[in-house]
Amino acid sequence: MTDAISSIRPVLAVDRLSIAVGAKRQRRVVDEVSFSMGSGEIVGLVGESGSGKTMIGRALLRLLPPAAAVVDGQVTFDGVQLSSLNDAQMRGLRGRRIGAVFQEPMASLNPAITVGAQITEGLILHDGLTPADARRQALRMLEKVKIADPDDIFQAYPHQCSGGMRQRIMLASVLALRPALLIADEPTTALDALIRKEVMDLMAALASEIGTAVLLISHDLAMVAQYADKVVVLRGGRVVEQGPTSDILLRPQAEYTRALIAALPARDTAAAGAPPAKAALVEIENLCVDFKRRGLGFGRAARRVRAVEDATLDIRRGEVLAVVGESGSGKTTIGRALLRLCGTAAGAMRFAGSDVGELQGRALADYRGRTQMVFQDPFSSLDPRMKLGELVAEPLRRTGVSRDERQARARQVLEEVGLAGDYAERYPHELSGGQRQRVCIARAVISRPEFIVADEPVSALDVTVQHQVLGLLAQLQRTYGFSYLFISHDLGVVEQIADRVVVMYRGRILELGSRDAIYDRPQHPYTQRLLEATPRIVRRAAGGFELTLPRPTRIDPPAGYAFFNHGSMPGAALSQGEPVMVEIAAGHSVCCMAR
Amino acid sequence: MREGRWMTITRQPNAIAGGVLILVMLCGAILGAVHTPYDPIAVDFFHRLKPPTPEHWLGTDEWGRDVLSRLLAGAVVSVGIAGVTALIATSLGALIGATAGFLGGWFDKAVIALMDALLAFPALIMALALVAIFSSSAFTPIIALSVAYLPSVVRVVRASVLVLRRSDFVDASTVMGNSRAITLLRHILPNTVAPVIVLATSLFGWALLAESALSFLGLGTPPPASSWGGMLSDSRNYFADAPWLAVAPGLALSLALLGVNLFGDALRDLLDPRMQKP
Repeated sequence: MTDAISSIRPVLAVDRLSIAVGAKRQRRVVDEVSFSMGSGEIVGLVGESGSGKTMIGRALLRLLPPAAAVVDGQVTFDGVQLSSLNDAQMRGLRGRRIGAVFQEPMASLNPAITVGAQITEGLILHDGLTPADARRQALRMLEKVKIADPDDIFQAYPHQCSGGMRQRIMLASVLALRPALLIADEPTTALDALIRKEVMDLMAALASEIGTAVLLISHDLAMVAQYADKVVVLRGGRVVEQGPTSDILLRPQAEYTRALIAALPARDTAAAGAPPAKAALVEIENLCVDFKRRGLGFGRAARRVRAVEDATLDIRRGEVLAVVGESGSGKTTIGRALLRLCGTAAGAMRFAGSDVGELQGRALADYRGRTQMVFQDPFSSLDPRMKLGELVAEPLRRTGVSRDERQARARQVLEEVGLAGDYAERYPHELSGGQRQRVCIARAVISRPEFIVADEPVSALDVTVQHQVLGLLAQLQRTYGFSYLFISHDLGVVEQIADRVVVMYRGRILELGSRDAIYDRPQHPYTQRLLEATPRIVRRAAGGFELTLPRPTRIDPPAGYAFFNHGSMPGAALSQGEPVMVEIAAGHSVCCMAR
Repeated sequence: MREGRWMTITRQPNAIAGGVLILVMLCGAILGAVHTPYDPIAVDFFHRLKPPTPEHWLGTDEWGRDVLSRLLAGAVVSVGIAGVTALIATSLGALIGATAGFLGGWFDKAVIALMDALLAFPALIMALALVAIFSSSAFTPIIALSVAYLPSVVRVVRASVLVLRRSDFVDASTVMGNSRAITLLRHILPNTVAPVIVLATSLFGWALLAESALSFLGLGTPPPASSWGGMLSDSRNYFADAPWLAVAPGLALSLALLGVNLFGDALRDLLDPRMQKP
């Protein structure tokens, strides 16, 4: 509350708010939370799952689920106590004075109504505009959120828009009413890094233009730190610490805040030396993978969509190769093709010298014994009807090891991943997400594979849990010496663990190099933009932490070439013809077009 | 975990009521098979259309036969036919549905086309047609109703297999080197059990009703053997003078159906993963 205006009359003052759930309201999920927001201020509400951050946001809208209720405390909005309002008055407040944007834009937008109708609905209802005026206003708002052709989008239905567009439409429809307070609950969690940055930049700019205060609810401390003036750190329903963002970062007081910041992925400088050049374990050459898309409408032929185009890479023994890219970049498909979970259209894949595509019967089964996979969603990758012991022991079923021995090994590996005790007898649903992912990892390493594909293994986990799981993976790798292909959209996580990095966009490899080369000397403009969109919190030499954002630097393509562009460089002309990978330094190559 | 689930089900009044009704019905059927107070088909012209007395608890019918004995003997027929029908339809349907869903391709298309064709006929109408073609015996309604209920099981199982087939743990099974058959038997089929059990319960109820309807129309169990539907049908002519003739089988059928439905609903709540608390 350094701001003089906000100390006089905050837009929102939350005073010892407590929310409880349960039949007798016995369990407090939010416990005596107090904070206030001045007009135009952006306040970040940061916490892991179960911290009560979403409950607070819902309580401000008086939209708590039936199982929960405010049991104590006051919420004062613009000088009015929310609890003193009746339902009709509250409805007048919602949307008009307090706007809300949620994580899933598809769930918040009505799929049966056009975008234009949804934006104008509020304007006609709350502001009493005529339909024509509302339309003009809505089109202006769509322009403001940088929708390229507002007239077309005005007529479109939500499913015709991409995720980023939907979230921008949501913003437009909410901010069109010029609310005094915007509650944004994980507004960009479902979006790719570049689009996340775009939406957040827009939200911050529009909010300051209109003078809307924003309550930014998120698990992502780095993202919040970039935009918020003030941060409130929550844990288990209690405020652990709050204050101006720079203070929290520079001098975190609470131990939990320090742990939270320390858990953020950071480059492990100890291991930064160039990995010893060992023989390649996996080699992929000119790999192409097609997907069949059902044709639109009746009688249309199925279309072929190329998911991976002309990918060439190798993975050495004992190395971590990370593939980064946004959704639809083909990064997961490469991993699935390697494990023969999907077919390939062209190219070759070799594992320890033998052609993976040719393997049949016995040889394929052997290959599968030497490779494993960890999936993204720990909730769907474990058979819900099997005990953990059986689940973990399953890869050993084909090896001829006796049942008792399999169970003993399973117990031992479960212990290694930190699940000692009677976990072997439990079922997956009794575990948390992080514990389940440990089980998946245990299952992947029990057969001592030489190669593991890890498909976004930590993106469903909280930051502190993510930190532990990444540590576990690194430790197991040191013990067993397997190589792994780490597929991720999170450049922070990749920076922490990868030896080498591959950057993909729409099926093509745009850049490939050692971790340090990619992060310190990114070549392709797309890699640069990705890095710019990933704020990182780093430890300062002088103590404390600070937010760093890589500065864009203009890098010229190698002599005689232009950077290949198939949509990754907006505003630039699309490249025609086949690209080539140009090696600009030892082991660092970038996708270019011969000029 | 299992104990925990049964704790929950025993705490629901609906489930308890349903369970008790089903238990009574099963006991009645077993009793009917083992021993009845009187011979259910013995004619006694001196005691025609008698109201309930200490000798005949539920009275006698137009042939002087003991209604209670006929009710118990009818339970054997009705419950037996319904049970066997549900069993056949469920196991056959699960097998066909799982295979079709897992294999996909032309086999799946052929199965679905056939099932859609079967589904186009209402169960009772199809049973009527089959019974009309192949004379009435205890087996005809079983076969007719099993065929009629097959598509619903095939569709439910196939739908869950289609979803399960794409789940990560099935991919995980493939990556582990398991064959398709092992993946299907070990990971996919056990996960379809919950909806199938729920469906089997409803099928039992439907079959009970359909068998009675067939008997009511004179196409079910051939007389003089008793069945609930047949008893209801015979009672129509004497309803004004001897209402107990209609009340006894009618009430038995209604209560049995109520029990099955209550229990089925409780099972659904219990086994549906979406209903489970985390």
